[in-house]
Amino acid sequence: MASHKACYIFELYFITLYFPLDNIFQFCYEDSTLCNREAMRAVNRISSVVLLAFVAFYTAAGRGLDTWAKNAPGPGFMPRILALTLGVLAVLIWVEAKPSSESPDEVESYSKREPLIIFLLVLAYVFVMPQLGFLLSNFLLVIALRRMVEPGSWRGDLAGGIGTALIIHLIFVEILALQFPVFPVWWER
Amino acid sequence: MDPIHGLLYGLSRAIEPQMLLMGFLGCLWGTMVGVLPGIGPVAGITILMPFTFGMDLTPAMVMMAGIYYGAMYGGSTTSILVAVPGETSSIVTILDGHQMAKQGRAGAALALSAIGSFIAGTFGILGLTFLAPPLAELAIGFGPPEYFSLALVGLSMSSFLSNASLAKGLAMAVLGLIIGTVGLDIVSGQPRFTFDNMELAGGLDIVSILIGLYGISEVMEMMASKIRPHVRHEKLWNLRRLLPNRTEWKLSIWPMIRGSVMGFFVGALPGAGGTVPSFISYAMEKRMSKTPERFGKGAPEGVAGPESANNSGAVGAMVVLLTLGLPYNVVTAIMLSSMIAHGIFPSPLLMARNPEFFWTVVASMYIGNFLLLILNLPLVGVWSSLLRLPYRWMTVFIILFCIIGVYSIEYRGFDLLIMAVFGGIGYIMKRVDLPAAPLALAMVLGPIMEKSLIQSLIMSDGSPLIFVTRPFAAASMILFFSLMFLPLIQKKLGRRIAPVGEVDM
Repeated sequence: MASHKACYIFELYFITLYFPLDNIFQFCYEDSTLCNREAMRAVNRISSVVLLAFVAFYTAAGRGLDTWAKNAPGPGFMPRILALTLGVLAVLIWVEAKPSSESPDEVESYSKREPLIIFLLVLAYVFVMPQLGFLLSNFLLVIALRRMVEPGSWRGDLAGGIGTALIIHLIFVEILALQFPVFPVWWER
Repeated sequence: MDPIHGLLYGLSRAIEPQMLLMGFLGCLWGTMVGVLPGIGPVAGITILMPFTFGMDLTPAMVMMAGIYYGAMYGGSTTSILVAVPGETSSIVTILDGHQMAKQGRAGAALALSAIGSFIAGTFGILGLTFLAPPLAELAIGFGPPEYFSLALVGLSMSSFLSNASLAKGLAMAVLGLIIGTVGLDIVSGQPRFTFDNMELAGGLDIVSILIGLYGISEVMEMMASKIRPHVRHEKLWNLRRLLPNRTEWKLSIWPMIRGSVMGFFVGALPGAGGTVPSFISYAMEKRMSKTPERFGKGAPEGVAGPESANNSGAVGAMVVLLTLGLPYNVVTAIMLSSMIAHGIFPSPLLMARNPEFFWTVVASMYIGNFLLLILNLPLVGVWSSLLRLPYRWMTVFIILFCIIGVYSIEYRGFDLLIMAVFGGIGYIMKRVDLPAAPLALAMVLGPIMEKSLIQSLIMSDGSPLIFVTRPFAAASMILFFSLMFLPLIQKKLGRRIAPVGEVDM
């Protein structure tokens, strides 16, 4: 009886490995809109091409590495196996993208603007922070995020920006003593 | 040190004020990230991980473990109250938990979930206490071929469990291994893919990549999907409304026990973690019930079983990490990289070499379970009100925490750049249905796999037959190849394993 139950649990474990969690997520997000299968197929093909291009770049970058050195695998051994495997998988992804009646018909609706703004702001922060310092950069980042993503009133956003920058400075620089460049480079000079 | 003495010693350390504080903070943060949809335990741990580098390893791990099972507790709150899962292992709780809430039994559902989680967590920790030492003893005989094949199975399972196709999951796992090849070669010390850049010589920083993949990209996803849960305000902090009635208790006690036992053992299997046990428990309870038609309409067993299973599954996953040093899901992979950053390499000898660390972490889990029960039940009203936090402020704070966390590791702008780039890549991956979990797991497992592959080939004078001549390695390899070829065979035979959703839910 116990072994029967154990077998049943293992059977369920392997069944669950095949279970697409997306099916469950879909009823959680009832706002999702229809998107055609063609777009998904195109996305798969683009992913495949990008991966193949990456394999070509990776192989070219590692061409000077020895595959075998004396009696042991060399530094190029693992990279070559990985490049070959990724190449095969990229081709499989392309093949999988062929028309199929089982392709999903629905994907969630989403906005492109907000994620792009967030990405660009974080990227800008990377280059600006060493010049402007932690305090001013944080203030600018908070203001920019609030104004560009979900703006409130100017007064509220400014107060929020100043307050957040000061609180973050107090906690991380004054109390936890993290060594950030606090002020702009020209100020420090 | 035998388990009883080890545990008593661990308890004496775990009640020190610093450990209690770290455990409390971990549980608090874990419950919070579990409650908030979009930020799961992975993002919760990665965001805080850099701040643990300045601490000793033991309090750091106590805090991380607290975040992990705190998120398991917290995730059920949103599933029950607003039908939005805080993290994946709470998805199945929606089916009956939210129905109970609609019938005015939200308090009872939350209580069953919290008490079930407590019982399961305690059972899981007992299992860890008594099973980890013999398992570690068994694993002492493992050599590089066994480690390589076990890591290979773990990686392929994680690709299987991702929502995308197997090819996509495996491609991401290979990409993760490729990222791990950047830096100095582990045998010859020769630079690989560094492009004469000194900052790449030490390899790409895993924490920066993880924070980009799970922190920044989650914020981008949150803002893109514009999903905002609508909270039905119920006065839940009246304790009487939180108590299940006699019938609910009667129906739930056995599912809690069954979920706890099954969850622990399944959670220790590759790729399972807390999510798979919760699905299995639901299917199991429905099949064992005399009235399966009640499931999906507010059956208390549908909450008690899965919630217990996901918590003991989370502890089960810790067994493999602490005894073999192999992470089988992303959260334990992050914990492993934190341990390595602190100079400890988990292995079967961890218990013998660092008993104070091992037993303090285990004992702190007992205490963490009590803390979570106290935090979750009476304060459920406070947690549900978190869902009313303005998203624009949440995004600001998450982004700032990510930036500060990454910069504070080595004070390098280069790491921030890596974080930003992988934030963008992570978001694109979500949009084109490429799973991040196999990539993250492979980045951590990559160096272990490469090292054990090379050592195995040196041992066998370059013959790959070493992986089939040693029994344990051979068994793992058979499992790996069956996983790879099973979908193909099924397709050829024109059959498909019916998913749980079609069979039992």
